[in-house]
Amino acid sequence: MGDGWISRRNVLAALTAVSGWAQLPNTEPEFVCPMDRDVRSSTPGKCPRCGMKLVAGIPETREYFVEMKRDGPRLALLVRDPSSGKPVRDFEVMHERIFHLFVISQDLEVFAHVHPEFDPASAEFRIELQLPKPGMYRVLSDFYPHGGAPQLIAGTFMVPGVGFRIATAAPPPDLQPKRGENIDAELLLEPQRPLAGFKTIMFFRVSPVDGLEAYLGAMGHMMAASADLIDMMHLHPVYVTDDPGTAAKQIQFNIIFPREGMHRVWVQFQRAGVVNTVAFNVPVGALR
Amino acid sequence: MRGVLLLLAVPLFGHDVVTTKVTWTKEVSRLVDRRCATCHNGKTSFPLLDYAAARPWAKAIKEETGNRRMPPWQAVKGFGEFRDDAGLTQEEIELLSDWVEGGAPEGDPQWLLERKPATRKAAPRFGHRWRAETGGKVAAIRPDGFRPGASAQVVAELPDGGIVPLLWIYRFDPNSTRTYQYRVPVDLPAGTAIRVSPAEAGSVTLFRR
Ligand code: HEC
Ligand SMILES: [Zn+2]
Repeated sequence: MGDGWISRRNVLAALTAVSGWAQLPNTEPEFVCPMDRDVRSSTPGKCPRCGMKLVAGIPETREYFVEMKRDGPRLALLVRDPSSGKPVRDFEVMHERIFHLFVISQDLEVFAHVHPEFDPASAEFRIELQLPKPGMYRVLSDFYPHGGAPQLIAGTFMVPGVGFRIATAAPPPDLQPKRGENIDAELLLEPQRPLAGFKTIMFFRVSPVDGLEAYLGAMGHMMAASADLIDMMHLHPVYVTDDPGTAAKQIQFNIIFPREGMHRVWVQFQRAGVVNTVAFNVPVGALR
Repeated sequence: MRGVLLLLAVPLFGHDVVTTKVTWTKEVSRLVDRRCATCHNGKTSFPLLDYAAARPWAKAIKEETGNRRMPPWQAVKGFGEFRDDAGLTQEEIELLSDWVEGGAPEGDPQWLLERKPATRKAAPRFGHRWRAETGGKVAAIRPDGFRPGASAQVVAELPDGGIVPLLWIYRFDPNSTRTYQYRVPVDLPAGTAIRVSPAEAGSVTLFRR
């Protein structure tokens, strides 16, 4: 290869170099969406799925620390850099926010996708959550520290109270169509009986379509959690198409459930400014 | 500047049906170096260090990591925060299953880094027990007498009513049990009760240092 290749590589890499992203040796850069890692491009630009700026290289796995404090309904989260131990104050906007927090109760009844406020003085993210039921709550903190790679950090807090007991939910399967605030959502699975370790395509047939719009930069948001709340997966649609023969949109998510067992899947779609959250219980089998 | 106008060559991956952009030389080798190579180096356990060695294990890698048997860390992430946490993140599990389900492609050998597999650190030793009567900072926790296969959450019930997550063991395996060291010692005042649920799963020992 001539010099032109090398200079092109260096120029492109320098243009888009971000620490926290390992540059690959001896090669032209490949640009990856920090959120949707399967979106790749040989040229810089924006992700067609979520609009984020593509980054050269591959993300370095460095898990940031999230310290949680609860005081009554007030929850405070402090992000620390794993290398320096210092609080992080600089975050990239991801899906229109710098921090997405998901909270799920052990009985799978409570699901919240909220956006705590950053307090510059303390470097804490703060939010009030009314959680009347005692028990275990699992959380997923979704943020993109400047100089790092996007993070999905799991955490747990306990809500004490009369009858506190840690218990695992065992919900029955529920694949029935759901009615949200102002949409109907039907779930189709391919294969119909998902298997752990194999790709499952989840089609949500959403109607009516007029006014259906992006919510926080994506046509849908999904949280899929194993009933024991060990696996918590956060996904965005790979395709949105017109559903043939019906007046609905088909919003497609691809997932590989890691383990067998019941999973609760929450999806959020927005129509005419209204966020709809609906949930399904998806049984996942195992190949034996 | 001639190169600026050239399009990039797209690497070819042989003739297997490859449906993923995740490759061994790019992402998976780096993950293995970081997360598996302390054991799968041909000495401690069978090697997974290069593509030729790892490829035949692809299906098993997906199974073992998806079911959280490998790496054998046993502590659920985000329930107590430990030093040198060896558990895979959800994204790492997804990456490996995407790679395997997508045909486990090798990728361009140029993408390989100079290999620097992680080496095993000597586990710190703890000998001073924490006791509820006196309380104080807890530096580490060890499952004791756990039933093989048992899963349980361990919490501290503070005198003021607060409840602190300490450790969540998922499918206890006595062959790879360990002492878990907290990233930041957990301060538990005198009178704190340590609760394992379900209680019949076993018990734990807490260490001050
Ligand atoms: C702490 C040491 C250790 C680490 C780290 C580790 N393994 Fe293992 N692994 C073992 C041992 C021990 C066995 C049992 C086989 C043996 O004795 O060699 C095993 C077995 C396996 C097997 C075979 C299971 C079967 O079918 O019998 C796979 C696949 C595997 N490991 C994958 C991984 C992967 C992938 C990683 C990293 C993400 C990993 N391991 C990390 C120690 C480890
Ligand atoms: Zn994207």
